[in-house]
Amino acid sequence: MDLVSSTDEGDIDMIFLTTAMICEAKALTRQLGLKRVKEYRQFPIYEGDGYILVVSGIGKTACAAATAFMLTRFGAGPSDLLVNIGLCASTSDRLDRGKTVIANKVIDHDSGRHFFPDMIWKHPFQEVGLETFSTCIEDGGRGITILGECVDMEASGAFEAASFFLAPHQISIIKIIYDYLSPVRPDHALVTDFLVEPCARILVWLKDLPMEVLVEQEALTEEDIGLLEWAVKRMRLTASMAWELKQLATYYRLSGWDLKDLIRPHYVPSCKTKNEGKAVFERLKRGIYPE
Amino acid sequence: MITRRFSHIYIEEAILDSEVIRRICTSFPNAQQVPIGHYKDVFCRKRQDFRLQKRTPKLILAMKRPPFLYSGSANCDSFGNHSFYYTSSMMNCPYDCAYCYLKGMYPSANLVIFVNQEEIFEEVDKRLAAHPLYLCISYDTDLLSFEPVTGFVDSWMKFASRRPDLFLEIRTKCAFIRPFLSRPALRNVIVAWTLSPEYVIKNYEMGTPNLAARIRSIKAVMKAGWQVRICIDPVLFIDNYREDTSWARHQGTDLKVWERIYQGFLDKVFMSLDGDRLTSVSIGAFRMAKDYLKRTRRRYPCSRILHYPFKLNRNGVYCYPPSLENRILGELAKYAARFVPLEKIRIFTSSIP
Ligand code: SF4
Repeated sequence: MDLVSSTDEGDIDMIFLTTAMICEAKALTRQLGLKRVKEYRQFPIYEGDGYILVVSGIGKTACAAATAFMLTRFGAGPSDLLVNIGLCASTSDRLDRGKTVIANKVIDHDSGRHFFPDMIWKHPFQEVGLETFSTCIEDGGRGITILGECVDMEASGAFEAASFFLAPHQISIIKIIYDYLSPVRPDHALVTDFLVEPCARILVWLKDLPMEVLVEQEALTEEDIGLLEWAVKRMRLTASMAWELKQLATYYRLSGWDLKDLIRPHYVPSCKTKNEGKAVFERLKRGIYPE
Repeated sequence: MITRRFSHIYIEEAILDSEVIRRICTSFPNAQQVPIGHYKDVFCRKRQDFRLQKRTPKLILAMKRPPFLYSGSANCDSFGNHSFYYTSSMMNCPYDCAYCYLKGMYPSANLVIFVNQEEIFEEVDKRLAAHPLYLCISYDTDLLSFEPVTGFVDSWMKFASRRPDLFLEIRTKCAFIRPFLSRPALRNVIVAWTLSPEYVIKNYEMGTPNLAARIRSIKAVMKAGWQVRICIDPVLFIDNYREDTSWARHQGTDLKVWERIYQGFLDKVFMSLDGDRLTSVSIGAFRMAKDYLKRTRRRYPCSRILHYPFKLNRNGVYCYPPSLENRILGELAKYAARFVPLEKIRIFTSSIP
């Protein structure tokens, strides 16, 4: 029933990716054809068609810093997504090695804080609670209380940092099970190959997301706003009257009318005093125009 | 693709193993269950997108902490009752009415169900020891719409049947009436049905039963001997904006279209229902607290009915300009009086200048 008069066409959807290690990133950059952006020395950043990827280094602090850096530098907005991708360990052998999991809950082990992405996207992955530790958990996690079904070292940093910029439905944490809390360090040379297939599936999923649902629709176009600013100056309106005019204009616009029919030089004469402007505004509000 | 409604159920860990949780979860066999510490961890997150969540709401099962009862709001008619309280066993509503104040009240569109009804009952008993109580149990939600899942209305009926000093009001737009047909009518319960013209239901009350279904339910419940109040609230100003060419008409000075819609609606309602047998008919125009309207408008920037140039009254409530509100309420009451004894018609006005 309600009328949508414009969409913000200037907004380009961007998918921001973070990985901890270069060898993880390679599985994505190669498939997406992302190129390294040379100007950033703090973190390796790769860019390509609709994607930006940052390699943070290992650990939640590094991940938080890199995430915040990327989202600030590239001006993340309401129609963008952030996806943290990488290896994780499973606390149970019920999850197969190589399985892709998505976190419906992220637990920061140190602070005990829990974070919840908004699970609005349909996905083909297994959902888990993921717990982020500051150090490597080895020896099967003996002597440590682990609440998550999976364990990593970055997710809570990515989530907490991204939450300053994005809504919880814009943040996804996707991991691939690599080990079962074993002391074996990942062999970087093999990790990229190990991740190629799971990453391909993640990218297909991302490509098919209905990003258009993220686009905020506004009643007034940029041209309308320009017109209103012009009228406010011309009538010398106070801030509260300007707000009232904007509200009226919104209703007018949502009724399917063209604002140019209401606000035109003939109806909005240039006023010399505030009182004169007030009188013109009152006339405008009541719909009484000079013939 | 977006997840289906109630694809996820967040459950407070403390109640994870309770019977009531198991019962509620059986209604959602494919839902992913996620244990949480406190419902606010999910419900009160920063920057949630209410509009998007409304398309795919999740369920949160939690324990209600005190207070269990609240004093009734000044924006609602207390029907002359002094001890007017409400209680919320649920937060948010499965329906999606465009004019709903919950859109500006809560940070999230997810549905919270408080499962510890017994504690609310205990609190009610404590108050009843001091004085009779008029209690709205379907506040900030439509409790009956979730009855097949929760069974809460049924429990309230059992509870009220043994407490003559407790007067319950159950407000609903729902057509599900099993709790009322499965027992003898209770004198201390009023079922308050909100009715709107079919035009309003279709365009502004997404997911709610149509007018015919609501009327059928009311008829059956009245036949079973229950007291029924009809609430025509909120009355919306409807105009013919697609064809209007005058800004003045547009702002609510022409009631032609509105009259046709609302008179046709009353004709339809009272062709089926006996106005003499209704407990009352309450009529109120759209109104919303300032902060709620501000937030709702921000969340729904393209909703025309929300962006009407309302006037702020001295209680900080936005409502139609007094001249328009008085006209539409007056006209409606006059027309309703053809079918319902005048003394049963209650008009709730909010446009105090
Ligand atoms: S039925 Fe009532 S509570 Fe539910 S959305 Fe509609 S107005 Fe809101």
